[in-house]
Amino acid sequence: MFDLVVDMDSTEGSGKVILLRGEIDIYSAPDFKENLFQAMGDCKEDIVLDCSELSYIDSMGLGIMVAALKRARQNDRNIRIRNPKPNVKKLFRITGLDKVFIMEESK
Amino acid sequence: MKPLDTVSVLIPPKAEYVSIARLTASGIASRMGFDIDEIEDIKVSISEVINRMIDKGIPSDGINIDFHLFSDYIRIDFRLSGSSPRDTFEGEEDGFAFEIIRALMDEVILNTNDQVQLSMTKKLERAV
Repeated sequence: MFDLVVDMDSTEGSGKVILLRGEIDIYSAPDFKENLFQAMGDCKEDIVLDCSELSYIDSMGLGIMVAALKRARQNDRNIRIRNPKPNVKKLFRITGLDKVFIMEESK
Repeated sequence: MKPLDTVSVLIPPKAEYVSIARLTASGIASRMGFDIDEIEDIKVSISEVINRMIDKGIPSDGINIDFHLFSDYIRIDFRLSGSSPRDTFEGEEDGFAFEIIRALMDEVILNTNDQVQLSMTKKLERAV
């Protein structure tokens, strides 16, 4: 199961918070891509991907995040990865994406 | 060396069944004594291999995953049933997915024989 929620109550002025829940794999990746790009809209602000409830991701999901980052940067915006679980964080580290994205641990 | 036990799973080459392979791997690895981190490593590696097999769109009746259980390691073999070209992973070795698999597993071998397209091993590091 995968779910993406845009945190409308976020009081942060620094970006739109998008909460990722569940598993992003080859099955849920198309949904993730569609919903993420829709949530990003026209990239008027930075995006915070809250990964605290993301239990699983593989290269399919990481690839989509990279595509989203590319789109954000074309608009001079950025994507921050917030509170990933250890297994998710490990994949960012292995692939070197922890140096590409801004990783943050706390709110 | 002969495995102590072998568990085989055959899944249709469709995205919706990859989680079944992950769940099976999780159960087997947990039973063998792998810790949570190692189980996650195995789950991700399995998904990466199957993702590539599905993504290639090679006509097949299914993907066979054989879990060979040894006393201190697990070997997982991937086979495509039906027509099985040997070069499923040709040109893939430098890709994103293989970077992940090689980092998470102890050994990864391509085309070990006519049937097995990829074989990967994870050692059981028992706490002393």
